[in-house]
Amino acid sequence: MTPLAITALSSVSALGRGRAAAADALRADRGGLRACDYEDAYVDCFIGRVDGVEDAPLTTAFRRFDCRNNRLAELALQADGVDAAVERTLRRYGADRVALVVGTSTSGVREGEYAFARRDPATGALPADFRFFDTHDHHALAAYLQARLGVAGPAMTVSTACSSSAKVFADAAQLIDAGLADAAVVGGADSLCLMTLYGFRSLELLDHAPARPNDRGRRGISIGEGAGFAVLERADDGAPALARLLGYGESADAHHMSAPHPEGRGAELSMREALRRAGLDPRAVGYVNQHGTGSRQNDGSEAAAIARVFGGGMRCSSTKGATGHTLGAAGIVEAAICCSALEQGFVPGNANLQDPDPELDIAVQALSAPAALEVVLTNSFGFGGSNCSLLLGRPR
Amino acid sequence: MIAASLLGIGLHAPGLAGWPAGREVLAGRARPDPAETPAPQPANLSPRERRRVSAAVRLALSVGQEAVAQAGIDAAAAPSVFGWAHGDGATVQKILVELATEERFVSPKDFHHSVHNVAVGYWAIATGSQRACTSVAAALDTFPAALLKALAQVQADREPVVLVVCDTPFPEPLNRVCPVGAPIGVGLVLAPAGRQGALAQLHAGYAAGAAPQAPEPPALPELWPHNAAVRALPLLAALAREAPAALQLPYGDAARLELEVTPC
Repeated sequence: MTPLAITALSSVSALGRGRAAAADALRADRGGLRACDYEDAYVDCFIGRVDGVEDAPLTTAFRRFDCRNNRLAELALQADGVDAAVERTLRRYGADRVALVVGTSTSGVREGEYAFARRDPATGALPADFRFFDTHDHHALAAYLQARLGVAGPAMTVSTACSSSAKVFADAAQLIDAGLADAAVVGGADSLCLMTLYGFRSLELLDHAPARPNDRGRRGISIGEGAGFAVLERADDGAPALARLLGYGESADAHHMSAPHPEGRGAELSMREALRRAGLDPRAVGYVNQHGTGSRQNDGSEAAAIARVFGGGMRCSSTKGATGHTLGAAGIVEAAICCSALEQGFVPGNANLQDPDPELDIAVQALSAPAALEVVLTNSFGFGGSNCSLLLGRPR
Repeated sequence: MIAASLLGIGLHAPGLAGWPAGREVLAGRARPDPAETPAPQPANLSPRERRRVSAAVRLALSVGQEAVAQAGIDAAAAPSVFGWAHGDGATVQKILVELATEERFVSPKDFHHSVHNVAVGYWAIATGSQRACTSVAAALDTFPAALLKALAQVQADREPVVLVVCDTPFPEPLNRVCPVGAPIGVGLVLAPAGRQGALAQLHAGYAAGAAPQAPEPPALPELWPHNAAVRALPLLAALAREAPAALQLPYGDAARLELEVTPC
């Protein structure tokens, strides 16, 4: 594929607001997890909560969209000047020539949870102030962004669990390639809610301590939340690039709804497809940001797939021990980390690693270290065996 | 505009059970009988999986399967795009009800079946396809959104793509706030333009400005304001009549999908 330019990019996660906050924390090997203190969720786990979301309601014209998920999105629009960059992009191409493709797994389902807790005891009816389409529905995030930003090109929500906001790059590349848009706003948001905390608890996938991806003693994930957005344009058309999207790969495990293929068959296919689309040899890649959830199965099968694609000893890390697993936002949050790594020249460390799992045939970067990187790969895998790999490179 | 071939069609809606019967109704040659609509049963799921999945997932898989059978393509080799207006509302509501109790016990099966991509996940398992598969939503605009995504993918990779578009009702009380009305599923197999043996050639584009007026719904008009999948029926009606058509479908309040259909 012809590389696309990423001309604006933001992220918000437990590491802070803005890409610099995340990069600074990672370079200092500072994590963002804490014992679960989310509202009244009594779940024995650690979480990556974004500070201050409670105090940042959407107001005035956008009050109807107010919910935790859209608040996180708003923080990400403001964090790295993405809102101003979108405005420039709309002026340059025309609002209807800019597509909007965003990922989320649970959108504002927290509002549905509140509504069900407040059902009319006599009739079972939901409260009259429950705004389904503006908050709870999958497409509520996109609806908010359309209203807030004025993006008027084709709009869609990708909801493939934890690969959602990685796959949006592939969709945007196809829409631009097909001439349906000249540029795209991509990204996503996922926010803490009871559904994922209690759901992952029931699957026994939560570590009671902070998640330790790639560790011999890893016991599960720590749920986080986050958001981020990017502007994608043809490389020779627009504003100066922060980084380039060189390739994308997508695959399905065709194996199981909630467990990855044990040998990482789908993971291998998505990484190989990204390399093929980019026309790159595996040796061109300097670092792999793993999906690396901290679950026994994921890290083992992913490392096996990485070793088959890149050979043993590939330099890798998972940043989910620092951010938590931001679920549908993981794709954009980790793409943003990768772009900071390319820009600033460092490999992010693998937070909470104490005892690297000797079974994993990869070189896990325990602590952050300077490194000149030209091309990096980031993996995002989701329930339903939905896999996506993105290849990102330094701007020309 | 993007050009593409249409190779296969699947359909399931009240009174429109399967394309051969649905085509007769949509062409005005037969009257629909919603009472006589059998529940869709995808044949490509194992009996165990068929029991595990919801009625909504069975609907999605069965229309995809019908379209693939007509197209004569190998489903295992094809990428897939599933558009589902609101996901599996029955499963999501079950969890919301549980979370409102003291125990907050969420069944592990319900939780991993609550993801929006549950249908396409089972599609991959059923067909053995390891190709790209995605699950997209755009509320009432899910049909134009998923169609454009699938057509862009055909254009990028020059190979057939399976498209499934569904909208399935919520139980009460969510049904009150999002009254989908009836389960409707449409399957299409799309391929690069000019394919031999295609049912029709399509040209699709996105244009600013609201659709001048919504096309006359060829069936189930009462569902048009609420059900995203019913909005695929004007395309299917044109195919049923085997007459060229130029359609303008709403895509949000201020844009439209333009769709030219030329039956082969």
